[in-house]
Amino acid sequence: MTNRKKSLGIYILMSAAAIAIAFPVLWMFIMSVKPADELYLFPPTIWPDKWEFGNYTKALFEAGIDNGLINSLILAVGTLALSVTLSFPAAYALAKYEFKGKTILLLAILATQLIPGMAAIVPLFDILQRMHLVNTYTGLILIYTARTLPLNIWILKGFFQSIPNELIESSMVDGSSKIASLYRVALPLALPGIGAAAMFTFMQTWIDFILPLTMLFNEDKFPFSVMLYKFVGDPIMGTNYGVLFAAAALGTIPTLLIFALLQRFFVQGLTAGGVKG
Amino acid sequence: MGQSLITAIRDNTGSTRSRFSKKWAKSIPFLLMLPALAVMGLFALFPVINAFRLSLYDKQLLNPGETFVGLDHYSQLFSNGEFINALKVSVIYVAGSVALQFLVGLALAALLSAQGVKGKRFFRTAFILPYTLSELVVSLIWLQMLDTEFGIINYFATLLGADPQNWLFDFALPAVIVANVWWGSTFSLLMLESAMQGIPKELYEAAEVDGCTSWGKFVHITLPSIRYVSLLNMIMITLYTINSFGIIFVLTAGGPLGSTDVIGMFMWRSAFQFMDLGLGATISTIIFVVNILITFVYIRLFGLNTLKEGA
Repeated sequence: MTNRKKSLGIYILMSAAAIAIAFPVLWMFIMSVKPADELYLFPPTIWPDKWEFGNYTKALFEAGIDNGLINSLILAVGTLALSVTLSFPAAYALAKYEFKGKTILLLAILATQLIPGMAAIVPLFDILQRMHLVNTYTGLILIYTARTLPLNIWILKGFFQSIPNELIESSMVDGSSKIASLYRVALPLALPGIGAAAMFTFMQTWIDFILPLTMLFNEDKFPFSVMLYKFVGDPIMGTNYGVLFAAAALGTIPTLLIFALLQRFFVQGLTAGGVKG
Repeated sequence: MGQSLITAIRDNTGSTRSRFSKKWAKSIPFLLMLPALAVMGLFALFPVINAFRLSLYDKQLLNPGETFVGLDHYSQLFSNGEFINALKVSVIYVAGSVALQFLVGLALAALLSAQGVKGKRFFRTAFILPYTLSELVVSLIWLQMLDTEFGIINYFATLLGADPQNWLFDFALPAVIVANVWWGSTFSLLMLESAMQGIPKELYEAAEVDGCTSWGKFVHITLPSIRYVSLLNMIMITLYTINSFGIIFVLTAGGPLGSTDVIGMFMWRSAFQFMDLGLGATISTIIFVVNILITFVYIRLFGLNTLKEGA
């Protein structure tokens, strides 16, 4: 009897928390379909009388968010490709070879993970300027790669360690080198790890905002997040919250989808690598 | 595409079995790591050194010239009222965010870990939702919800019998803390929940036999079992919160009257708005030193192993 009361209490608490936490996300979607005449009402309409899907087409084609989404995609996929390509051999070396200073190296990689990048934005600007990479995607992709490498190496190293050495050695018939066996045996087995690493890299790059805002000057290069920020201060766009939120929703749908489809990976990777934001 | 490459590598290594190939074999792990280490070295570690170097120079943002000024920027900063204010605001912002984020995450993790609860997947999904949004979208949503005239939070306030407030003016710091906690609690929740799942069930069963209450089990079994993960989590969110200012950037830009001007915001403004890269780098250096100190204190107190295990 008390047990039932207790679990009822837990359900009530969890439901209240779920509503409070999920509400702002739902609110974004509600705002995104509000027609212009419902945006400035008090009390606000919680459920729009009329659904204005035109906000989405306006955001995409009139405000030019389509361009921003493509730019975000270029940055995210570029980082993904570079970061996974570089972390794969490094993780393999750390998992399967013994050498001097390995422990220190591993700790150093962990330590870079513990020092987040925002404070580095000033010296990074100077470095990019000297390399003539300010206002280029190459510069941003290199920074994102450096930031995502530690976690990717960490995740992939774990996967390689779970592959028995015998399996790799048995493939090394007739002088097949370790590098060859790396691609033939380890690559297919590490695919789930690569998937998790790829997902994190994509999400981290996709949602970033201050770095591209600082490093890019040309409007046609802005990713969707920076574009959206510029809209907020814009005298015309900034007042049309319906279109603004439609744009925000469009930029959120990719990460929501990834999260919905790969939730198990998401939780595992997040807790294993201990990454935030 | 890879097949011909693989055969080529195999033929090559197969035909050169000599002392040379032994030496070559020894350097393989380093060659494998070299590209990754080079990128991390240049774009993750070198910035720390470069921040310190730049802090010793007078350098304007878009001007290549530099003048050596020694430690002038540092002495200048510590007599700068804005900087002192930013330090104070940062302490409140970080302490408030970390404490609330951790407690909310802990409470949610405890609810999700309660025995005999169905539909955990559904609730967990709802709890994780904020984390899939970008910092900018989070800010945008809260900017609209906190609006003085048309915001839904003022509508809820009037439903509860309170007067509408100008949140981002009169309660700016609490408001940005709430937005940040809403976004960040997911991280604590996930880390703490996975730690709770690792606690052996026998411990709870034994406590039940002894007639322990749910609260008693939470205090005497759950909390002690997750203490290392909790500390690691707090360290990580502390470091992250010190470094982040995206939400403040959009919601208040440090205002009104500096009441939300955290150190990161002050740094960004100095370097990229007032174009003083040297001063900005000085603030970066100070933030780096604070980060390193916090990490070292943590390692001294709890040992390297907890760092490795927790991560």
